[in-house]
Amino acid sequence: MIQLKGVTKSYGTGSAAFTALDSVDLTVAAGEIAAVVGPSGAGKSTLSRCVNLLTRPTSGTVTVNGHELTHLDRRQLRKARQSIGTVFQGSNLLGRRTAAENIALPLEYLGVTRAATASRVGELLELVGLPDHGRAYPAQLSGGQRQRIGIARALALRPTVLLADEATSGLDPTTTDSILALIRSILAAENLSVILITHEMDVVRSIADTVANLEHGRIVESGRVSDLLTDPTSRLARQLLLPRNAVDAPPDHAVWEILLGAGEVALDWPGRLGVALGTSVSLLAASIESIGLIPIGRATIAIGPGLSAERVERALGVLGLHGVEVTEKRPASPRSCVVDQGRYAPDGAAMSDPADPVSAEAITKHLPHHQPATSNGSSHTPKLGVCATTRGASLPGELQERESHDFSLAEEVNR
Amino acid sequence: MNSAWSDVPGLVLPALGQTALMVGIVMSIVVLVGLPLGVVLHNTSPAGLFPNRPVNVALSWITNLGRSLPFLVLMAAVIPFTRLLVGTTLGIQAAIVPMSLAGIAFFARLVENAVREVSPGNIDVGWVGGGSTVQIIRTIQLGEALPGLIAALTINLIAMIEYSAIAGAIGAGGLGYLAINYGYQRFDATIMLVCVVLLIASVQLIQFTGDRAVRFTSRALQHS
Repeated sequence: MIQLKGVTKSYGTGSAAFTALDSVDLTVAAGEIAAVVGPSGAGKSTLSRCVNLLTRPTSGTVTVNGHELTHLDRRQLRKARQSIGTVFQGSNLLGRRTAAENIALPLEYLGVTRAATASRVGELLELVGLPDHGRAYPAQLSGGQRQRIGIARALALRPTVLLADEATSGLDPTTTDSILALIRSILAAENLSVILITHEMDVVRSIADTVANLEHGRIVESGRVSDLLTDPTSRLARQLLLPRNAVDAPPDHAVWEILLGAGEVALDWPGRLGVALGTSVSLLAASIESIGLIPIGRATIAIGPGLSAERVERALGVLGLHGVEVTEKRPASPRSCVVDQGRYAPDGAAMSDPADPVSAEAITKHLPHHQPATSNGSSHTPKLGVCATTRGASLPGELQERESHDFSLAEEVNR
Repeated sequence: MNSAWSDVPGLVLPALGQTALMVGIVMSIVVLVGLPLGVVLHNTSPAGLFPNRPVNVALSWITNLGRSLPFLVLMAAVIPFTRLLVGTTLGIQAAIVPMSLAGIAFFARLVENAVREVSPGNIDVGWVGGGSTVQIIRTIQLGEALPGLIAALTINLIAMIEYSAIAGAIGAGGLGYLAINYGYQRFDATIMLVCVVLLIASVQLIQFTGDRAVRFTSRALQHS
């Protein structure tokens, strides 16, 4: 079990001080997976570096199995880090070492004998499903295989906490699923506490027990995933249930965004709503699934003209639904340009795969009439290759003075 | 006055041996001192494992001293130091001192560059794996930078052969001494030609061997 209490990290002093993390509390029980999500630049990376003590928090404590790690000296810190296994984004394998030698690295540091190392490495290769790849070099492995080796390395010293920092970012959906399944199975076998830092809401939905939303260095919302999803007021739930691209509403119709999950909802609710309001109700977009036997989802509907918002809200309430009217104004005459995946500083406009949903939404808002150019054939992760407008993409004035490398992904795309 | 071809081996072979001896001793000293110096130069920098600005600035300044003078000038400038250290200002012993000074400074910078190329992500792996600073330097910084270090060694070795020829001009022996004393001052075209051919051949051979070693050690990095 791992417990973070009031973890704060600030850089600089005086007026130049910047607080990357502000009193973050997080508890993960053994056998549980906690996801930390948040927009780009919210402090996710800083949090991850504070957990494995690559960065020392300015204040606050990190406690693993009752041992407080934060105020240790260098030597004790080395030992403490052995109880935290870290899986990095892009795996960070050493290119000149074979897969087996990479897994053996922490054992080598600890001074484990050659024979014991060999048997443990064999065990771990078996565990991550790559028993025949020990002699392969990282360059000969696929991204998913490299990540498996990274997981094996993280587990080498039998840690009690596994920290996965964007461990599935940049992997395709199938590989992501297989890596998540692996983490699930290890979790059950080794009774680990897992902290999953991610921007992929699908990962959160499919694997996490609890989720915390980090914004500007603070946890603004947290709870069990199942609880949040059934809470219509939850902002996290809205992010977890990704908005779909809605069909254009018929003229004069009012567009409403509906959240399902507040409780018992009749599955034929669009029909019932139409009857209750005495008008047509059209489904423009929806995604509904069963989570904990409760239908959870999000829908965009168009309601016939001439009804007051209050009346619609009342009718929705009777059906156990929660909704808000959406009024959307689209800027005219976009100019087109192609936005690539990945960043292309210094000349700006670019789109990146590891953009979190909030950033992705922010980006697409600047891109009226956007048309996905590539979709990776999957609805799994919001991979956005888009034709974009260069107008309307604006940043607050003070940001325009910054160097390109100071921008988070989303800001960079918006430039 | 050209030497007879039959006299050439008797003159050239000992000179070749002297060059090899001089460069061999110098390179041993250069690696022994320059490698740790380069590692410390990188690791005291802000991007290093133990940033320390005063130490970094001091070491950098000292290293620059050895890199700022043309070798001929450096050799003359350090004569008092050379005499103090080896008791003479002539011959192989005397040449080793300025050659080592220039070589160490050069090699330290090359090592610093090679180690700097190791990705910060790989260093993180060392820390979270519970490695000590020394373990991380050995397994990750030097381990991952090995191809770059071999390339640095190759460049440095060739530079030392060049320096040995310059040192030869002031009486240190070796191929440079032979080329200047026989080839230039006695107009002995045969000796000049043989010296030039030998110098070119040795540089080519070292570069070829070095390139092969770099390719061999970085073969793991290429997609198969």
